[in-house]
Amino acid sequence: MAASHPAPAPGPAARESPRVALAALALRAALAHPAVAGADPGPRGIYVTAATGGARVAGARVIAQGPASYELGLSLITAPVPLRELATEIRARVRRSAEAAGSAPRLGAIQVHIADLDDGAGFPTGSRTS
Amino acid sequence: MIHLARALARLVALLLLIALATTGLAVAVFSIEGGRSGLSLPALARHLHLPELRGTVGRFLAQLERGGGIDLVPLLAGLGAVILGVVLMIGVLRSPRDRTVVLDEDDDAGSTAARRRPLAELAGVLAGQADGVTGARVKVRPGRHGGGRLAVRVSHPPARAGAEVKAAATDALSTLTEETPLSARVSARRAGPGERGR
Repeated sequence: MAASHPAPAPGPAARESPRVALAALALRAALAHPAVAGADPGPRGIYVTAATGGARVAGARVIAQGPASYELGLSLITAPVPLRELATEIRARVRRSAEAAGSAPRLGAIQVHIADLDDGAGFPTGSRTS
Repeated sequence: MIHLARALARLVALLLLIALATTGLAVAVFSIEGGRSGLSLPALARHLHLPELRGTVGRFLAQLERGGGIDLVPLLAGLGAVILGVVLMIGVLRSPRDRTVVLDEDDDAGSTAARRRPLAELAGVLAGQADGVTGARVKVRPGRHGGGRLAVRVSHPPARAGAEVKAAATDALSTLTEETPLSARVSARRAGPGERGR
């Protein structure tokens, strides 16, 4: 059984940085997916975005990919569902959220990393994941 | 095993560096004066009992050279040194196996990857749902250039044909292996007396 690591909400300092704001927005969008049970900071916290003032977004990392563009990495605990389809849906959700927030131009590639499975979620064979 | 070898190699490297630094410092300090006393190299050798050590080692080597029967202690020490050397070389040269399996990769959209454990669990669930399977054990081996291989062992009741159950499990795993760089190798065996059939 996978342990769930709920992502902490970024503090006021997080809103100051577009990088941290993007991490928080992406993680919220991913966690809203019914097949996503939680976020995982990854080994040695490599999927953590730290902000000033001690705020942390655990489960998302944002790395500069080019001028004013960021590569996003999400480390997630999911239900046992088809993983590639799930990743595609998560990417679409994140991009929609970024568009709604006006952050889409900053968003580059989205790496989806499945850290663990939430066994309690069952296995919806043959069904869509959202 | 690899992790143990790497930890041992790091520990030995640290100890060797400390020993080298200490030796260098001692030699530097004992090079201040000449002659055979005070801060001189002969004095350092005396402090470290090097003449006695030379005598002890000399006697040991002479004993070895005398021949005759095989001396067990030097033999075991030599074998231990060889094994330690091989383990240290493995620890230095081999990198630990990547725990992540890349399922797809796209420069623009991004990649999808999964750790070995969730993939093994998922494959176990899928194989376990196949008709005739009473149990499944999965090992995931990440490939060097993305993807990986699932080694799946399923068990089945004696009344069912192994080939049939193997085909059913392979088919069930296609959800995971189709259109991904994952391959599955399924082997089937009869379930033991304690395992329940379906």
